[in-house]
Amino acid sequence: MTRFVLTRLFGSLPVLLGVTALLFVLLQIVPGDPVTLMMKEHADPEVVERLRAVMHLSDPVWLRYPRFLWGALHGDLGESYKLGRPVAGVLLEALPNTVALALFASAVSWLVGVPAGTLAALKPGNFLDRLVMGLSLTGVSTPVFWSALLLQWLFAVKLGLLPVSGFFGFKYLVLPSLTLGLASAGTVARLARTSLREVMDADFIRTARAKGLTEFAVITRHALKNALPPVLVVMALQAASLLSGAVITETVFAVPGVGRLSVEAIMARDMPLLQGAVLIAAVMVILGNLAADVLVALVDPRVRKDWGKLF
Amino acid sequence: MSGRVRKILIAVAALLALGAGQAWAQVQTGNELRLAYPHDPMTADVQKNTEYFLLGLNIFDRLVECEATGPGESAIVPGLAASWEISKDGLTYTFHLRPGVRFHDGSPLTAADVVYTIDRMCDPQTKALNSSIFAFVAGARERLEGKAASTAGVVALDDLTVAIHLVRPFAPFLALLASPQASIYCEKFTRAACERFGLTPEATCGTGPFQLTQYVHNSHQRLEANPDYFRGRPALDAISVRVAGDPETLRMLFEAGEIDIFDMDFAPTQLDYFEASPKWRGRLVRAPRVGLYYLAINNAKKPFDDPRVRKALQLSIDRGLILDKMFSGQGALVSGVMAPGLACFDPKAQALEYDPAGARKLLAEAGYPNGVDTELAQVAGWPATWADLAQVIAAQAEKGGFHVKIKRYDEAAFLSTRMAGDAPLYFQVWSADFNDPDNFFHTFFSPTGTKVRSINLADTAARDAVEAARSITDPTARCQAYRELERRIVDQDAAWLPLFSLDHVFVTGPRVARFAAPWNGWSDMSHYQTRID
Repeated sequence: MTRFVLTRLFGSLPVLLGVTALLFVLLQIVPGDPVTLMMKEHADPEVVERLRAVMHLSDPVWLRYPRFLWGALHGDLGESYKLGRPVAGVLLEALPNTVALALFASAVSWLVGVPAGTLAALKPGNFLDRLVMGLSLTGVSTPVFWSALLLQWLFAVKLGLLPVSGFFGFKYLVLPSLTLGLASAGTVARLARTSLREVMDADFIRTARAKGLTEFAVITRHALKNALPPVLVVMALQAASLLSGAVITETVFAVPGVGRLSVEAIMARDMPLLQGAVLIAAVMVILGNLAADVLVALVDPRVRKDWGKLF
Repeated sequence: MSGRVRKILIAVAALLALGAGQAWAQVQTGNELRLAYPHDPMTADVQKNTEYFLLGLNIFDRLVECEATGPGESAIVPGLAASWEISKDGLTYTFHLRPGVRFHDGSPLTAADVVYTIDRMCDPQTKALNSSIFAFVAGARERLEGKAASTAGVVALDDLTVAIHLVRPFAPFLALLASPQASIYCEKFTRAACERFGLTPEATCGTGPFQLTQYVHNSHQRLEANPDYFRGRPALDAISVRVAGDPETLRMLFEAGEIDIFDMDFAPTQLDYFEASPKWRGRLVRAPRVGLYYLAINNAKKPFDDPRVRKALQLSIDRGLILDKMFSGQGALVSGVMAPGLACFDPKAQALEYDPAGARKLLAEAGYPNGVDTELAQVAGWPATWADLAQVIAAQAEKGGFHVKIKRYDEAAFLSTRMAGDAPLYFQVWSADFNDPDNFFHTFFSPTGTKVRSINLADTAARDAVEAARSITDPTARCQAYRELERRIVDQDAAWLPLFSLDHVFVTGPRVARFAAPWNGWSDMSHYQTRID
């Protein structure tokens, strides 16, 4: 498995290179000057020109992109135009917050989604199934900013149980994690239900029941293990997406994460910061895909066997 | 899942929880003012910031300060300088520093610190955004262009006396020195902090009433009282500032008692709610603002190159109706260039008329009997209320014969277009950085300012007069010159359409015992005088 993981990681390098190059080109095309954006209403053409020269913004792209790559290869992502701080430091400060939020939101999504989908799959068409499917549809189709405001109003303003926003301790994580987690729990529940339904009709389940196993044992030991791989893939990809920053949730709950940094960077045309944030997002998506493959292999021995043939 | 994998996952979660617990600061309460701002200030270094000065106004002091002396009135008062003299030719400003003032690191304030601060602003390696405030200092240009190793015009005469020589008389200079951008730094500390100055508590040091003790980007800042402050220890123990971008979240933070002051500028859509609330109505604080909303007209763009068309646009907008209906009448109509509360403001200036029939007549005279098609910029990221304002202006202008199409821009694209002098009609707000008419006239109608704001005033005599007024040293003659210029630009040239000045509304929470808005009505202010029960 180690060989498989290393090969996949090595193969991802051209993807990272492509993503940064594409971003560099795109930012040359869109209008907007980072110095003017820093000065906004106080922009003075003389000062803007002088600063552009000092910050090497007037250098041609063919000089700036290799400079960025060379720095990145040496672990230096440059200095944010807007923040005046090293990009790597800014991202490292924001990343743990995003990771914490992503992990807790994923945990909510999995802990709610998988059991709910399983319950719904037990007796298709009954009240419980309809309730779970109805709620999951509501979860999937509710805009995050709206559910966030509702949760804030209920738990913080009305009940006074949790803080409205900010990021100063574990209790501050509860509402944003619930907001994000419940939104994706719907997808997980629906997928788990469909996948489990397919498995429940398989011959080996009939055999397990014929052996006299309880329904609980049949589901947990046999059905779920076989139904989970597609759900795991989706869960891993959802987590990867959350790891690259959940912009709306981070904004509403004032979480100082990578998502907000990315938006700031785009609005300010802050090329170094944006390059760094996009690099992180790309790495997270690559790792998410890889994690999905590894998780499936851990659950399904047939996949491990296939890897053995390939690597 | 194997036992090994489970153990690894548990270990990762525990590490994250532990790491996060260490990194997150606990919000304190007690005699602490709790605020929320929609934006991170980026840095406490006022030389590298043009927008957010809450940190700067509380951490640093200036040679002189501008203080409110009554509603809509202010005066320049001594700050770090106990007194000063201005030479008769207006070219030399000599400041006598207060003895015994110390920076947060314990260093005494000396004239060398003032010399260093001004030179740092002009040093191209600083990458300062506000260097233009010292453009009149002798030697500043040479320093900015990298032709000199220091700024020759700033000289320490002795430990507590500093002289600043100007290249030509610049009447607003004293008022400008009271702006937050002109805060004084500690030479020894700032040199050592180098490029990190203002970015972390460890790299920030001033003489002000509070010192920065926590700063987590996009999360919060915390300032604690400076017990050795030269005016006396502030009444507050601390100020904590949280970053919360969403207006609804801001309101919930306030209602849940997590912040003490709700600033309506950050969430104008919430005004109706607070005005209607029996709980909060009595805690609304309204402060006049030395600022104005204006509609910028690009004088170089057809059909607005014809003054009759510009005049027609002025006649088409019912500013009073907008102020009453959209902003509950919380402000005053402005009919010139200067906002109420600004030095030289003329309260008797003739009001602009509203006459849509007259507007259509003027358009017909100008050769547009069927009206004119034009565009009004609306920029993503500007306040939501402004989108409604754009619709109202477009609808009102239609009655005067202007068929206005609203054109949407992203902020970066708009600023670039405006900088090039090509923006269509747009409205904006301008608040005074310093109390001098120059802050308004030069910004909008100087030869460079008028282009980068896409106003493109064609009246070259008026543009030159704006430049010349900077050097008039007699205050009465100077005010007279600005008042005449104001009428020329607004009435004769019809170069822009001033709208109104809105009051700045705050809601104070039950803990706030004393709160006063600053002289200019900004959100950023010194909280030295604020008290919490």
